[in-house]
Amino acid sequence: MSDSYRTQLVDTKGTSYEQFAIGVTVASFVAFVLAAGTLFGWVPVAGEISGVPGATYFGVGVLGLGVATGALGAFSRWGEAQTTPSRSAGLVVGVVHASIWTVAVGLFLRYTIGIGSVSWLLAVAVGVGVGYFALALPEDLGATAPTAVFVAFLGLLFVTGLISPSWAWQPNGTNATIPGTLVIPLLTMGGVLMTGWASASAYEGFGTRGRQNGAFVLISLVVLLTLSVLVFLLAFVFERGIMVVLENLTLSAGTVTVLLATALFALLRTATVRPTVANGTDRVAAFVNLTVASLLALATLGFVLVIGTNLSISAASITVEPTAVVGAVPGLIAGGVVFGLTRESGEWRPESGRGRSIRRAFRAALLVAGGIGVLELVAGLELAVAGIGAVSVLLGGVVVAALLVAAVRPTDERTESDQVIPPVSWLGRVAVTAFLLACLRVFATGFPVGLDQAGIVASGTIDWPFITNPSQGLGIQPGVMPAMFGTIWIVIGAVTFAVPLAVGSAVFLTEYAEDSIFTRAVDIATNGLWSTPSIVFGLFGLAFIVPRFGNTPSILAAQLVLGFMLLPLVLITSREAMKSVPDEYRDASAALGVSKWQTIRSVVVPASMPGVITGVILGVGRIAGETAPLLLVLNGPAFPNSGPKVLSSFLVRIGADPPFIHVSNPALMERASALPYQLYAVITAGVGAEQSFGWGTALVLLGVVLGFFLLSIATRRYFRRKLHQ
Amino acid sequence: MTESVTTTTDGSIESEQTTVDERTSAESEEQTKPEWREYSFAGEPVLSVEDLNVWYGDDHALKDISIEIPEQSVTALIGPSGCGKSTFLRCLNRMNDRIKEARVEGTVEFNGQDIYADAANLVELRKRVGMVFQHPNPFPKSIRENVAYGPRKHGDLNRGLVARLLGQDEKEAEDELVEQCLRDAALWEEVSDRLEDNALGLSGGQQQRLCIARCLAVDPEVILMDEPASALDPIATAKIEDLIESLAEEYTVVIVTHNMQQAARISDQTAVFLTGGELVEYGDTDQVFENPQSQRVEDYITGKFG
Ligand SMILES: Nc1ncnc2c1ncn2[C@@H]1O[C@H](COP(=O)(O)OP(=O)(O)OP(=O)(O)O)[C@@H](O)[C@H]1O
Ligand SMILES: [Mg+2]
Repeated sequence: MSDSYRTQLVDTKGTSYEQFAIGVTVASFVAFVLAAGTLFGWVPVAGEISGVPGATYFGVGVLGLGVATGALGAFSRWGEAQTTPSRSAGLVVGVVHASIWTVAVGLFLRYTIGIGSVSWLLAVAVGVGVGYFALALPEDLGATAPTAVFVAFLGLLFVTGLISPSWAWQPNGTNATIPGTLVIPLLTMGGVLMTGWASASAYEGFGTRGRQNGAFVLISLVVLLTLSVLVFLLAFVFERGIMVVLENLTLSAGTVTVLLATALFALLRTATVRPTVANGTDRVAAFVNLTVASLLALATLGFVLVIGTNLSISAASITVEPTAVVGAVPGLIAGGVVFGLTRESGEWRPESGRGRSIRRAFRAALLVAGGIGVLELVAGLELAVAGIGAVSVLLGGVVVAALLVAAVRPTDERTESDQVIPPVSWLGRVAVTAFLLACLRVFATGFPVGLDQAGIVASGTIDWPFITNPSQGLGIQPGVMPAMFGTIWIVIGAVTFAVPLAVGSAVFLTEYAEDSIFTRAVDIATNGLWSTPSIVFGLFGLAFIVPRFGNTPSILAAQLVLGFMLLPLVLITSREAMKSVPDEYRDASAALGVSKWQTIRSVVVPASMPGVITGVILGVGRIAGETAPLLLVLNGPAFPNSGPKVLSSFLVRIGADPPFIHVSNPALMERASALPYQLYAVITAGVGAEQSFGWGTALVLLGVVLGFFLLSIATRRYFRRKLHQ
Repeated sequence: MTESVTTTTDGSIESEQTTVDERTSAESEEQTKPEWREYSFAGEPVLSVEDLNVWYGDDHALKDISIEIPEQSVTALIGPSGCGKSTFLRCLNRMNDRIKEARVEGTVEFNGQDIYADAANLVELRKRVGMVFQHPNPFPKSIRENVAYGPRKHGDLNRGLVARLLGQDEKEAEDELVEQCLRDAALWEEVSDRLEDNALGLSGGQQQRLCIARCLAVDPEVILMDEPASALDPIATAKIEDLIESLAEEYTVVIVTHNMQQAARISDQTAVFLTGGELVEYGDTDQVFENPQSQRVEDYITGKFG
């Protein structure tokens, strides 16, 4: 029977055995997710659900899965199921079962029954027996039976209450207590991993395909676990920090609408939102995109409604004002994004002379508007009224002229009308350009555009005290602005210091130096440096860098120390990336008579840029959260009342002595605060009310790191595209 | 050089006759001489190689090669796989320098200058002796950038942000050059509307032709081609063969090929290498194919031994 199955190349319909098997896999999956949720506190295990203890549900479920897995094996061996098991389940399965059984039986005999140290001898005997059993029997029994018995046994333990949420295990010789609320979900997860694996293997009829499927399910479950740990961590911090971060946030509905609409536009332009045309994981992504897009659209509509009804909304100290005022900076961001996304589709190349002159007129109008803005900036006067008048007259005139031309032309030329009347996409792009120009003008000159109720203003549309203010003392409005800018400046400085050095050294080591003891020594030293504890770097900075730069801890010292920390990782990844650039490229370039240095610059370095940036991504995550070295080399007040004014304190002096141009920046030479540093201060202050401040700071720190992360990923994508598209 | 054989393909029967006579006399004169008579031609050699020996570690890959390659002609190198054709080709623009374990002895003169002299300028040499590799190796850049790469790096084409700001951007000149080279390499029709796409997205044969275009863009004096048509269909091969023949009016072409008909069709003279790294026969293509001197070469050409 199994032989006839073997010759079948394509499965035409799922048999009921397969349906049963996939049912067990799905149930294992669900049980795994529920158990993980219990671990994270989302699913109750200690309480009772309609009078039955939560643990009992787990017990019944696990028991059922165990029995079902056993049934899968039995049906395959003695039933009608068409399977193709191998002769043995394999050594790995045998060893794994032997170890699991040894540990489980040992613990059970030793602690639950309590029969002293003989229990381990017995346990080893049982383990070896089970291992032999798994090896010697055909695969369908060897892979399922030990799993089934073990998992069913676990289920029985839970159902009978031998292991209950109130139960706790105190291993001898330690004072650790492992509560049942932890043991039940952990054991459940382990057990259902096994049933998931066995049933997935059964689904494909065991054999090679079965093993592949089993491995796939096992790996998916583990990946799921990893992902859920990550999500849990983020959610944990988010949940605790978000209310502090958003405290007293005031927004104008206009700005929010513009930002939301831009996000919606960007999503629609860059991602697929139609699940029906995608398949596989793309379909899942499309579903997620569709959901996000719908939510964004709803929210945008909601805020438009807020503006229309003129009702301000406020919830939990967040206020949205019903004005259609847009801030210049959010406007610039939104306009820039739309402008960038429509770069290709918004083109219009008219072939007729009239079309071209219309296009030229639009451009001239925009230029005039820009010119007025520049005039205002130079003169410091507000000319906007005159300017807007001029621009609208020009634009209006052009549109009227275009329509007139279209109307007046004889009918036989009408086919060319698309040559004269600009396409909507192009007009939209003109509008966006005008909006960008207006925002730029407001941003540069500070004079608003438009009316009080609807227009563009320089500032005040987003009032976000936690982000934009320094901390104003215990119990008053908390704020992280100085520390946030401290962290941002330190990371920027460290990256600009480390990346060129690292890339330069990588070029030297990979392209110029021969493979020798020297390069190997450098490689070892680099690896060692990357694993050096950060406090050692901090001490080095304190003893070596600080005395040389004004003898006081400073932002500059922190930038250098963190730069030194970043250096080895970027060096390692750059070097690996350069090594993996194929020699063919170098040969091709050399054969064209291009010098080595030119080749490195225009072929090797661009090809290794993605690797360099991967190093930066990994490294920034580490240095942005570094606290220990900052205690030594930054060491400012934890809650300063102003941020480091790095941008505005650059001093450029031209002198008579070399190097003639002197650049200095006093702000870089001062002590400052940084997010992890401030977080540490908040925690050690130990005031209960300040706890939420700490979570908020942590959330902002995560946000800053995530920001750098996204920036680097976008850059890396850019370079990858250039290399591979 | 009183009885030299003309390099033209339509060499008369008389001149062939003379060489045959002389060859038999030369053979009887001295037994230790190579199996083939010294080949001489009218005009100056562009490349003259004397007693060239190449080792890869202990592996003696080329043995005592002496050969003169005339200018403005096509010289074909044929021989079984692994006999050292690519190695020989790489000696002519010193690409063997880039292989660590390779050791080269002997002299190679390019226009009378020893390219293995200490003072030889490799960058300049490779500009003038271009090479198309056995495996297509385009850069991971756009098709346009691939073709314009050499001229841009040599400063013959001024491109980029600085050039644009100074108003010296030579985009038109580049467009023209790129189109010309791609047309010569029989690729223009296929890629004219996607010059900005990455070259790695081209098919193997298209990449091969792109590499030829890239080499032409540098305008070398000698072009070394290592099986340039190995990945091409008959139509593209025919185009490349036409290109090679027209190139020979201006340039000197040395081409490695496994295709006997191709060698017979397009080359003016043919050199036959046999396993072990020996140059067994070198002469006028018609002669080598119709009346080879050495039995081994005859066997190889007629397919008895490969
Ligand atoms: N980089 C290298 N290192 C070591 N040995 C090499 C190297 N390149 C070539 N050889 C050896 O030198 C000999 C000649 O190789 P070559 O590539 O010149 O052959 P070929 O005639 O071009 O063969 P084909 O027609 O297959 O391309 C071969 O025995 C080869 O193993
Ligand atoms: Mg070869």
